[in-house]
Amino acid sequence: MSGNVVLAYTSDTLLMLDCDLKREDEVIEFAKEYAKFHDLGSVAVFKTSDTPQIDLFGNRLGNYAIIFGKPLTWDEINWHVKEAYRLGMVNKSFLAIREFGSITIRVSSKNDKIPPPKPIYYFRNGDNRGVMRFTKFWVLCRKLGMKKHAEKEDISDKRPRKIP
Amino acid sequence: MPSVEKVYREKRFKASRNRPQFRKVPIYLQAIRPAIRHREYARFYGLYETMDGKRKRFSFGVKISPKLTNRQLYSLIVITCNNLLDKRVPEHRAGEFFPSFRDLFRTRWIRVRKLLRYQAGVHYER
Repeated sequence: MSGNVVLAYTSDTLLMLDCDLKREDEVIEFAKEYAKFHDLGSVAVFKTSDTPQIDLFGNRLGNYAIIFGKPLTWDEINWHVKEAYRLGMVNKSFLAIREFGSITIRVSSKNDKIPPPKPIYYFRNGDNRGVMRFTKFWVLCRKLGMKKHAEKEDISDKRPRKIP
Repeated sequence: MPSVEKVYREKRFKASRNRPQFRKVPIYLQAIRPAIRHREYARFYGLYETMDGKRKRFSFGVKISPKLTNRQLYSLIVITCNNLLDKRVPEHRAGEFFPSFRDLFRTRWIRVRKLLRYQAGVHYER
C-alpha cells in the first residue's frame, strides 16, 4: 500500500480558526457573530473531519475550520486566537501556533479515512479576499496527494486485451 | 413532566447567558489594518521511511507568488506531489519555508525507502 502527501494552506495574514469537537450550529453562530462584531469581512466555515464523539445532549460533534475574509496583521491574529480561546471555541493546543508565526489549514485528504474539508457555510459580510484565496487553493489541491488514480490507470493498462 | 426538548432549550438558553461576551480589539492593533500585504504558502507534509528504516516526517512550505496563474500554480504543486510520491524528499529542516518553487526544485532531493500513510499524533524520530 502506497503512502500519501498532505497539502495545506498556510498564511500569516489571514485569521483561520480550528474549532475541534464542536457542534455545527455553535460554530456557525460564533463565526457569524464574531465576523459582524469585529468587522472581519466575509466568513466561510469548513468541516474538516467527523468524530464519533457526542455531547451530553446527544449532539454529534465535529471538527471545523473558520476562515475570515479580511487580511490582518500577525499581532491582531494573535489577539483573536487568544480571544477565541477565552470564548471556548479553540483548543489549548491551537494556541501553540502563535509561536510559529503562521496558521495552517489542511486542504487535501489526510489518509484513506479522512476526506478533504467540505464547505458548509458562507456568510457574506464585505471583504472576501481571504475566503476567496483559501477556496481557490482548496479547489486546486483537494484531490491531490494520493496515488490512487495513477495506480488505477496502471491496472487498466495491464489488463489482457481481447484478441479478435 | 417537561419534555426533553424544553429542558434542552432552557439549558442552552442558560448556557448562552453565561457565555463570556465579545471584547473589542485594542485600538493600536486596528490602526494598521489597511496597509497589509497578503502572504500565502503551500504546505506539504507526511511520513516516510528512510533507507535506514527510520520513520520520519517531512514538513515544508513554499511561498506562492502572486504573479502565478492558477494553471501554473496547479502544475507546480502537481510536480512537487509527484516527486514526493516517487519517494524523493527535498533536503530541509522541519517546517522550513522555501521562498519560491524555483528554490525548492534547486535543493537536493533525497531518495527514501517508502512513503507512509499520514497519521496525526504518531511518534516519529527527527
